[in-house]
This record gives sequence, C-alpha cells and structure tokens, in this order.
Amino acid sequence: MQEPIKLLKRTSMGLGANAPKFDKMEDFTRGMSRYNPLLMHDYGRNIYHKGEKIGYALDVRICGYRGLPINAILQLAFEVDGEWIPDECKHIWYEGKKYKFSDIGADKFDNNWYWKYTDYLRVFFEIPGGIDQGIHRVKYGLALRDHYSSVAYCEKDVTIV
Amino acid sequence: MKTNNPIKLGVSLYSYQEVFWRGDLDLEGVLTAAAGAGAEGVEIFGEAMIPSFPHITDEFLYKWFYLLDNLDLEPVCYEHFADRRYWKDTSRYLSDDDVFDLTVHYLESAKKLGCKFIRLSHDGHNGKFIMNDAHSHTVVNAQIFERLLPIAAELGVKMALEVHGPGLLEDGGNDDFLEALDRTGIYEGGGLMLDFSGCFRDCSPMQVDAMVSRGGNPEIIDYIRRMSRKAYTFDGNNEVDWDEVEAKVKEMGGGSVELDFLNGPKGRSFGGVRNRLITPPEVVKEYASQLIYIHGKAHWINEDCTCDEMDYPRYLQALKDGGYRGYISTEYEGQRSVPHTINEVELVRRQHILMRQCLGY
Repeated sequence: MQEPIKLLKRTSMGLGANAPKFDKMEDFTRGMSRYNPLLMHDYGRNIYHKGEKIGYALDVRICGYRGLPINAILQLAFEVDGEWIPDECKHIWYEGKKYKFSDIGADKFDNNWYWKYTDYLRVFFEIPGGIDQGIHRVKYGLALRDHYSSVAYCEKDVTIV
Repeated sequence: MKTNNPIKLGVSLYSYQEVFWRGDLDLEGVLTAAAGAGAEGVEIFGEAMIPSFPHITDEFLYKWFYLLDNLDLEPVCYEHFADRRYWKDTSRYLSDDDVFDLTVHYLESAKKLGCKFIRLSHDGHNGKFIMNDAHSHTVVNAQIFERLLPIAAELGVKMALEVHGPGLLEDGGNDDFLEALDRTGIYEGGGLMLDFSGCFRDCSPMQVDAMVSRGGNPEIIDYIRRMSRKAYTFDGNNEVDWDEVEAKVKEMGGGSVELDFLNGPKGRSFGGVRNRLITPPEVVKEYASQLIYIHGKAHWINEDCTCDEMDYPRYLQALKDGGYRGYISTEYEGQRSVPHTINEVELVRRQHILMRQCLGY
C-alpha cells in the first residue's frame, strides 16, 4: 500500500488564533470584524404570556455570504441601552423550534440545521417584565465558528413594541 | 448566450451576494442579471441560494433547470465548503473522514445541478500560506483530495483547486495536491484554478477611502498607487526603486497609514505595495493550459470599463496565448467592505464588457 502523501507545511496567517472571548461588545468591533447596519431588524417586540411580559425579542441576520449551521454560532451578543445581555437570558427561536443559547454547539440539534442566508433569527431575552415600549439603542455582535472565523456587528436604534 | 468561444465568460452568483441577502433580487433575479451581463454560465452557492441546503430537492432542480434553459445559461460550478468546528468544546471538530463524506455529498449535488466543477475549499487555497494551520481550522487536505479523485472522476465533476491571493500559482503551495493528481493519474478529478486576486497591481477606491478615514493623505496614497501600477504592469518599463518611493513618501509627510500601505503592517508575513505578491502575465501564460477554471475576482471597475486594480488586457492575452479553454466567472466582492453602497449588477456588467473587449468578443 502506498504511503500517504506528506502534507505541505504552509505559513499560518493566524486567522482565528488569539480570538477574544467575545464577552464584551468591543471584541466585535476590532480586527477583521465587518460592520453592517442591516444585520438587525429595525423593530423588536415584547413577548407576552397571559397578559404579562416575559421578555422581549430581536430579529437578527447572519453575516458573510452564506448560511451556516446554527451550531456554527460562537456568540450572539447584545447590549441594550448600554446593558450587556447575559447568555443565560438568551434563547433562539427559529423555524418553529426554541432552544436556549447554551444549547448551541452542545449536540442538542443536528449540524445540518441551517440559519439560512436570507432569514432573520429571533433571539428572545427571558427578562420578566420585558422592556418599555419605545426606541432603544442596541448593539449586536455576531461571531461564527466557520473557518474564516467571521465576526460582524451592528449598532442602531430599534423600536421595541 | 451560448458561444463557441474557447474562453467563456460566466458569473459566480457570489457577485450578487448583497442584493440577494437584502431580498432585492431572488434566484431568478440574479440569474437574469448574469444573463444580462452576457454570461454563458453560472456558479452557485448552495449555502446561500438553495433553500433546502445541504439537500437539493426535485422541486428546486425543476426550477433551476427551467430558469437556466429560459435564460440560455449553463451550470458551471458549485461552491464547496468544509468547516469543521460546530462545538463549544474546541477539542471537537470534524475528522478527515467526515470532511471526505461531506465533500462527496457536494460532488453528488454538483452533478445533480449539472455543474462540471466544484470550487474545492482546500488547504492550498492561499498557496504557501494558510489561514490557520491548526487541524480544526483546516479544510480539504491533499490526502482527502487523493481519496476523492476517483469519486469525482466517476461523477464527471472536477475539483477546482483555487489559488487565491496572497497565494500564487507558482509558489509551490499546491504541490501536495498536484502530487495527488500525479500519483493517481486521475486528472479528470481535479486541477488548478486561478483567482484574479493573484494578479492585482493596485488597490480599490474603497481601500483608499478606508485609509483616508484613518488619517491617510489622499495625495500620498495616490502617489503610492501610481508607483504600484508602474511596478506591477509588466510592460518592460516597470522598474521602481522602492527605497526612493519610501523617501519621497516621508518627504511628503507620510505617516503610519501611508507607510503601512507601502511596506505592509509590521509583523505580517505578507502585504504592502512594495512586497506585493503577484503572478506576472508570462507565468499565467505558462500555466494557462493546465488551468481548469478561473474566478474573475474584482473589487472595482471604472465607469468607462477600464480597471486600475488589474491589467486585464495583458492577463487575458496571456490566457489566450497560453491556450486556456474554459470559464472565467466573475467573482465580484467590492461590496463586502462597504455594505449597501455598491451596485453589484453594474460592476459585474462593467467587468464583462472589459473582458469581452480584451478577448475580442
């Protein structure tokens, strides 16, 4: 049997090496990150259960030029009116399914479940009482595990109903 | 519109990524744009434009072939990716066997779509460079490629080994893949593919704007750009003394923005106008007959359908003289650095006019 081909040693450009923790918004606005004002919908909504606000949701989009498996999401970060939203509050609602943010990359669903290129992904923040209706300043940061280690961000006024 | 030209012009639908993402044009719309630019064939991104990806439904195929037939286009290439990392636990990632299996699926999908090629996401993409050499970040290596060759040949779909800047055709960074072809003799399974990013002599107006926004002086940037075009337009009059250029830049008051543009950011293994990595037209001519596919990467084409970024007349002549037979598919990507400000349809149209003029079509 033939010996396997000896693979070439190529010069690493270090993409994705020494990546930040993505635990603060500044981590999304540096380096190769791409700003795109349309990554987030202009409107969000409070979510009610039997007349009570149980949280609120924002609709966001994927960056780059293709859809990716939801398990390729490394971080979906938000700062609303200057307040960082903790991971424990976050849920994703997509194609009729609901998962906690912590379920991503944890074998809770198939790697073939794609966040489609043209779709909004709904992110629900489980915060009892929701948020006051009105205009809120929202920062959104997205980091992906794809081999380009894509990072993007968006900051805008979002009207939350 | 189908022709008998040896070099055919196509469009990768990647070129219309933003107009599609925004929903301004659907699949029919971007295919119509490609046909309107004069393309004969198209390359499609499953992850962006096939709703049931990674599966391809009969319903999609019915629509796909109807649209292509109606617009007189042919399917050329199906874009392949091989991401491995889907877990929080960073020690977990897809094995080489998994990457092999998923690539077989891409090859089968390409055949369904009628494509002759997949643009293989492979470790030689940037030639002697690699984005990250950790196994979890790599894509298809030469060992996987070798195993795929008989399957690709059986399906009649070639794996195109795209060489993209800063990698160059001639830098040796694809030697292990070429060894796989030679060892197996299955040349019907794959071959080299050029991306025009290895032929660039100048930056784009968007990059100039970015430098100016960081405090760069437009006059000095323009001077460096002129020197870049002089040095990398291979007309026999391209001698440039870069030390003299650097001295002049400093004399003009250039600071870190202009000097980084000239010399490359400190600590990076490539970059900077002075050290631009470029494959000269003569070398493209030598490789031309071995190439199986070409991406016509572009960031900006002037309103009069000329181009500063690349010397189209010389490179297209080199491809003709070297005996290239196949597609050049536009891969327009100037939109990526300045979202929602560029008309992708117009830029693709301009590049097709420029290429047709150069090829005498």
